[in-house]
Amino acid sequence: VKYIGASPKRLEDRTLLLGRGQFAADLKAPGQLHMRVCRSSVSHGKILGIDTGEARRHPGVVAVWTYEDVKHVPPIGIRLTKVGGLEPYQQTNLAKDYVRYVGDPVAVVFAEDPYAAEDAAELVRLEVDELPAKVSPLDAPEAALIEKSYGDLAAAFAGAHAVVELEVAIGRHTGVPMETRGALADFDPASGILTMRGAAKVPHYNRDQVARMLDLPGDMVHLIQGHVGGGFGVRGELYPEDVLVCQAALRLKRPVKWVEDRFEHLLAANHSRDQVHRLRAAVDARGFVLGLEAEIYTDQGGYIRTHGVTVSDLACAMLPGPYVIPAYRARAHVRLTNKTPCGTYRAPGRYESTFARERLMDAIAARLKLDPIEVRRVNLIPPERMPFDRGTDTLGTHVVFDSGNYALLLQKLLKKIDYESLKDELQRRRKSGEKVGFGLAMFVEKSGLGPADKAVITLHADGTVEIVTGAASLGQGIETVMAQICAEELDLPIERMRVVHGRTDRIDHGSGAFASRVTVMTGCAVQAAAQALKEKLKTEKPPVSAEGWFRATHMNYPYGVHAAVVRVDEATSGIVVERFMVACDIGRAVNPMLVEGQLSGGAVQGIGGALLEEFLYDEAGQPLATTFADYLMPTCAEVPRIEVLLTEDAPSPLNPLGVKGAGEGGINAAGAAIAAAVDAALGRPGAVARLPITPRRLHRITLSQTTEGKP
Amino acid sequence: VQAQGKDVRTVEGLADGEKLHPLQQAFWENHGLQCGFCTPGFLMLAVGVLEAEPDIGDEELKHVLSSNLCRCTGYQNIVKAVRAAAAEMKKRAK
Repeated sequence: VKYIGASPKRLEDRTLLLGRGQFAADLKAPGQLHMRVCRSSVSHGKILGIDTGEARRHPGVVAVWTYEDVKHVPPIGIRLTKVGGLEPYQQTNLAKDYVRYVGDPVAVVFAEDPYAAEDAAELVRLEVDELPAKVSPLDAPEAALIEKSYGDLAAAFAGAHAVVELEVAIGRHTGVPMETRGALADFDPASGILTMRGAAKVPHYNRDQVARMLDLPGDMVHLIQGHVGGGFGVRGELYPEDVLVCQAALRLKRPVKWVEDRFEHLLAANHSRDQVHRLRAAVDARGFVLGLEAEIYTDQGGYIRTHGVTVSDLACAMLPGPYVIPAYRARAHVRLTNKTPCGTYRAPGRYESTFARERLMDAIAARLKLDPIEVRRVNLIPPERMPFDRGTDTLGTHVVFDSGNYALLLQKLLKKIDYESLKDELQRRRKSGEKVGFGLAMFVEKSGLGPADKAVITLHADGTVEIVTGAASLGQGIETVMAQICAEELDLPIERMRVVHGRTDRIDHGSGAFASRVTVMTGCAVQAAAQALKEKLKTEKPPVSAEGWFRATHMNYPYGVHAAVVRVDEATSGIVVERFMVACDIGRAVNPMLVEGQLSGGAVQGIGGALLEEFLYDEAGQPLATTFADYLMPTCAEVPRIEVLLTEDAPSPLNPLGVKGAGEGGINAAGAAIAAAVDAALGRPGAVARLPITPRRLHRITLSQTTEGKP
Repeated sequence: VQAQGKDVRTVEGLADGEKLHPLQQAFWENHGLQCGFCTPGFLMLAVGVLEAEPDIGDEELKHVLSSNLCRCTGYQNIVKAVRAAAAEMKKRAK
């Protein structure tokens, strides 16, 4: 029996289908208090006073805290970045002296029920001396400058046939998981253990942080995840609210529960993207990029949170993508504005840099009157140069593309969609007056970030198998995938397996779920543990346990191509995505059904970012998108069938399973492909320089065309 | 109160004991859920429309399903699952 490569039904689903899921809001503890956060309605100002008197007197209120009550707790730390000097910009758990974005927590109310907490929170009076707001990264103070370079840029420009310049921008988006954030903290005086439920993504790391901040021994803090309603980079980072519920459970000696509403979520959970890229490329007559120079401006928002400057760092490291580009220099300016602070969102730094790079490829083609696909072919890293040293570093690792045949995947996609006849068909439709166009974009993803993962597998006497991992679930199907990998070694049905994840009380080491790392890192640890168990079973009878580890010093690099066919309606400035195609090579798919699910789901989020989603602010720093009526996400009416081409041509040589991550390839180039397709539909190369392409922006583009055409 | 005196069906009452409703089964078989948070909403939305309009067309169904949001699946397999369940429910109704 082969389990890897099969697509069994998920182990996770029955409970969820029966309505028995336990999400954060489902959590309860006897005697629990409810926390409500009072947030600044001003984007920037000096705090003159916070009057909590009336709130304290509100029936059912147990306590109201401001910065004075939490000042001994240090700010949440920064993970995953080597860039130092960011400490001055960290967010305190409640605002100290200044507020820096609309939504900045200034006080918290604890009450017997959520209604009392919410009512009382409205009675907290914040007096602020308002200051001018910074709302553009182009004229805001700089928290960090990141620079990455390789090759002889001066020589590249000196020998250039042409220099192509471009400025593009990507809107402010975020993950928006369907479940908002929430937590329940409980301190048990008998054991001395503080437990926070509602954890996600990186429970072990967050456990260490909470213990450090609240001055508890690490083994006296447990973080436990239940069901998690989506993550996308946003959920499961440590936020001030998580620390506040833990601190309150300790101090008020009662369980404390917190669930945010959607309005708060859109104001308070990490935003992402929002970069301006200025590119300058030296090219030869074939469109080969001899050298590339990039200035990137990131609108980081009011503080530096847990991700530090990771997103900008990733953008610099990954901007060259699948192309040779022998000389390169990128500088990313991380600027502080009066907006919600930023973190990662699915394919962080890549959705942005792919948009910029692929717009550049199209601009080069337009400038030299070449075919955009041909220009890409000329620039692609050939398979014989693998492994390919990209010459950059990120997340503490050197970027070395482990394997890949980019030209082959491009060829396969064009064949699958019968590109020549599609081109003819679109030409015919354009001749008959329809504004339709095809666009394509290529990318390299990254996955499988180390350094290490551990798994412990036990075969019980009743024949069931328990797989304990340090991973976390955000809904991606890790229980099924880990069980398949284990089953492949033990040759036992996955239905007999139970996968533990997201529990710091069950395993001492865990790295969680981010950066498309779980199938690679945790998967290989599970394989190692299963092999060790098989070895032990030669001499021992169940119950038998075995442990396995997997370590990696380098990431691996999936890659792909996105393509879109769009139709533009100039009368309404509406864009219809008629077809969307994702070709992706992830080395080896453990469960192709789940991989296709990841790619399709990512693609639709990417279409949202290309056409609909954006957090806009006015000049005073007031957010204009605070509900789902303003922050528009795709519904099933806006998205076409996502056509997926999953290939396994380039297994990763860096792990025994040959796998690469599948979480982010679906979204990476969606904005770039749609922009190219809209350009083609309008017959105006370079028309789209900013995402999302909202009707207002498209209208402006078509308007400028009409006026340009007139004498 | 809007629902005063009315019957309310929730996902907890959809299955027949431990036996999944055809919609639940179809969501399972077609990978119609990832994180599962939106799933009860989609199940109850779909069961309502399929009971009222067993022959609903693709475009009309998409229109109805567009009243709920999902952030994981891209809707691909939700639509597929509801279509599969519609066929199964019609077969059983005969």
